[in-house]
Amino acid sequence: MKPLLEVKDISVEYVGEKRNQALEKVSFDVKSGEILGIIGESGSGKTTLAYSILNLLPESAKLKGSIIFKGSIITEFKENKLCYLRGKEIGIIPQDPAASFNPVFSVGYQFNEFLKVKGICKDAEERLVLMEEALNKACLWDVNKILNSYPHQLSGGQLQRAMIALVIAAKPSLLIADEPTSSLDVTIESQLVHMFLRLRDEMGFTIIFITHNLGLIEALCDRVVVLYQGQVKEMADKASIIAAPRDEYTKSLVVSFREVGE
Amino acid sequence: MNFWQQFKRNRLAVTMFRLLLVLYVLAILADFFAPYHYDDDDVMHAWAPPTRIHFLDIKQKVITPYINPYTFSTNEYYRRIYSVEKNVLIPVRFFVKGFKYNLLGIWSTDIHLFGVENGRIYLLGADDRGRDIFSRLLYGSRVSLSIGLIGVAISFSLGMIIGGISGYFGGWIDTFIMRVVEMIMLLPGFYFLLALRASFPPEMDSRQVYLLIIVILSFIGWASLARVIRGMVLSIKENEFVFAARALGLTHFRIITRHILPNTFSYVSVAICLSIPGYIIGEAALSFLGLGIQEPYASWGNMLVLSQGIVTIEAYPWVLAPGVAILITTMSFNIIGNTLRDVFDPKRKIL
Amino acid sequence: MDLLDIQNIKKYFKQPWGINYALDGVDMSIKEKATTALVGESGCGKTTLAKTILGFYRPDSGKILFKGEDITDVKTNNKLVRENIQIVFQNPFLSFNPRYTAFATLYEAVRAMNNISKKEVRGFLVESLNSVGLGEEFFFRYPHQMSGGELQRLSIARALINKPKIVILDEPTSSLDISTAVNILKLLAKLQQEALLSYFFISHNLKLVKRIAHYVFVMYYGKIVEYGLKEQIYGFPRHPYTKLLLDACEYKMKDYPASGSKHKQGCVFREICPHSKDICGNEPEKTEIEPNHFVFCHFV
Repeated sequence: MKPLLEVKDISVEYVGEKRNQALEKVSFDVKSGEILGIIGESGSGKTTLAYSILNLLPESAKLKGSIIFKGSIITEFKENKLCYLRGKEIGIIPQDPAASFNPVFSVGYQFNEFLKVKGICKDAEERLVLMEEALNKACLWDVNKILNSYPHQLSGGQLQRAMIALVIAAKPSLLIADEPTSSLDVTIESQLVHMFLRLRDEMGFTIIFITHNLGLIEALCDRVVVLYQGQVKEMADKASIIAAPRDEYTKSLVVSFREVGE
Repeated sequence: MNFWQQFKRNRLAVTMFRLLLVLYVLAILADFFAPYHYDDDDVMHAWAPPTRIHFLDIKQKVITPYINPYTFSTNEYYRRIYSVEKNVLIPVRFFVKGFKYNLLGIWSTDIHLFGVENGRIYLLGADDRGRDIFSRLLYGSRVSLSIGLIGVAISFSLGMIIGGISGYFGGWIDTFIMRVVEMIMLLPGFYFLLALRASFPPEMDSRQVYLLIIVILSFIGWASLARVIRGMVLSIKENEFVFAARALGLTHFRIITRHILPNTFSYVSVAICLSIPGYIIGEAALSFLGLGIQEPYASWGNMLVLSQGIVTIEAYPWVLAPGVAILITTMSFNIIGNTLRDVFDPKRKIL
Repeated sequence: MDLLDIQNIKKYFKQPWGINYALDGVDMSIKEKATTALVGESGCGKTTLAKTILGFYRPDSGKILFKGEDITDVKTNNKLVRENIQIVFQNPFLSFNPRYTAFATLYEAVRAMNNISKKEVRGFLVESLNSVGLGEEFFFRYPHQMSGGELQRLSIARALINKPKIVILDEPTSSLDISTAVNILKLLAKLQQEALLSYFFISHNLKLVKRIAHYVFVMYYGKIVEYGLKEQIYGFPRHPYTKLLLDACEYKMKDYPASGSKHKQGCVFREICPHSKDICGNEPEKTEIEPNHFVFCHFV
């Protein structure tokens, strides 16, 4: 079977006062229905990778290589075609939920706006049903309260789940989660892990999960890409990476992960 | 990219910055650059037009620059019509002796950059009493250029300290200071200036008037700044480094002055550049209305009094020179301020 | 006698939507030369407690004793608090004045207590930098020129420079990568042995605390629900919330309703607790189930 997303030899360079090679010949693929973990420490190029898939990089970044999504090379797409892809085909869950909602509009308004603008659902009544469904999938049961609240009235966990609901409401084929839990408590983190698993198992979402926490990878992912200083160090099944890391960097990662636990 | 590199990218701002530097040097060394004293009048040359300096003699050969002296006749409206005597050559000399002055207030000397030994040279023409507008412009720039700097220095130190205290301590101190600020901001600035000036005797010494204008303008100016600074302090003081400094037992004064206020400098330096023109124009406006610097002292504002009539402007357009000077100076500060704002804007920083 | 004694501290914040019971009768003690950990989720009052100890907040009631001396009102005992209690914050990028180099930051810290000139102090500062594993090349770097781990080391150096007795560590590793976090934890353990420090370690992650803590306090919405020695808390957790936290660390916990206890009376955890009964409306007694191990629950 053809993979859903293929990333071939992606290089990203920031051109500025000093040149900075953020990614160097990164290649991997994502199969339909799997959770692919991308692990790396800060500065390894994780976020750059996430944004380069949808070409959301700042102007100073120069991207080389090709990204193939559902058989078409999206790196060659024009802006308006990419715009269509964003949200509808590929959804991004950002790191900080508080920063990704506009503080002056209620969550429901922004949710509604997204569905309307993206043309996902034309009818107002249907949109309401759709929103409720999506929120329920994201483990938010008190739908009316969430929709009528302003971002500052909700906790970080609720906001992040509302964000996830917003993203999955468009039923994208691919979800990119960029450290969705790193600003949240362990209690909420644990809950989100199970939510992601349910999204995959029950609704067949394909997820790229970006994190710096090996524990999350262990709990959540099927395959892992280890990113270090912009290069792919290792790519394998979760079990084999944690049990028998081959690369030096992966080894040190596993060692420090074990050390925290003891 | 560091601050200066980004600033230098904007050629216009750099040009304006250099222009301002030149203006300030001219102002400081006005005695040296001005051929005449600001009150050196010559009725025989009232309203004389700008003097043309010739570099070529009749045979088109380059010689030392010279000027031709003026003669005049009056027309039917008793207006003087100046003409030059082409056959009399007065050489323009450099480092000539003129009136005595103290250079930078230290060296007593009578050397001037340029001048003529007999006759008179008017680079930008003469005013109604035959005084050299160029010389008066230089002397006037001392008032106009310094009033902005001193005024800003006073009002910004006031505004920063008061705003800093208000934001840092909060509570009733904050409430009290902010009410005072609001009261001051309620005053209509320019009319308040007029009223205050009117309450002092009109025959005051020009130096006192100069100080008075600065004090009045600063008194009005600090309030709005204090308000902005207070807002910034409110957010900066929640930063963890401020708590760390408090945990170390630093005094409140030191935390405000060394840790909080310096972090507002990027805003303040922009605000300074954008508010200096206000002071320059404020002084010019007062002097223009005859309430500021008095004759015979020169300031750009009281020099512009001459250009109150359209007839005068039509007949002697060079009296607008101080207006052009005000325009250039205020524009320079504004352009530099805008550039600084762009440079400091974090959104423009490259990722 | 404990080094720091926190007795029935209460701190309520009045907010437009009601009262926030940030600290609701917290009793704690910090033992000498040991690490006392305080664990709870964000918003449960951990940082408020830290700031109350340092005197940034004045508690509504209760007492804080340092070696038996009352330091509840910092103004009366300012010097004692500043000399003996220091803090390391969570976000290393916000913990430094962006306009100060590492040298200036440390010098400022020394200067706050002593009167030494810049020249005399240099050697001392180099030593302090080296002790946290930073070389002399960091001396004239600004915060934005350093990485999170390096900044956190500098933060520790700043906290330790005046030789305090207690260091409050407010989630010092939670914004760092795991490998960096492990190194910071190792450094902290080493420094503790060298300088006989007492740590007050605040975290939301029970797993992380396991490595460094001797005593663990579990807090939920302004109240301590369980505390004891590390082995007791990890080996035999008794309070349902502690169990839940331990599960969450292993990503075993599946569902967790959004919390925020509004009740002042009774067990704070009763809205979420799976064993909740009517009796939970009453204030739970402090029960000592084994030596040093205390639980606030009706069902132990």
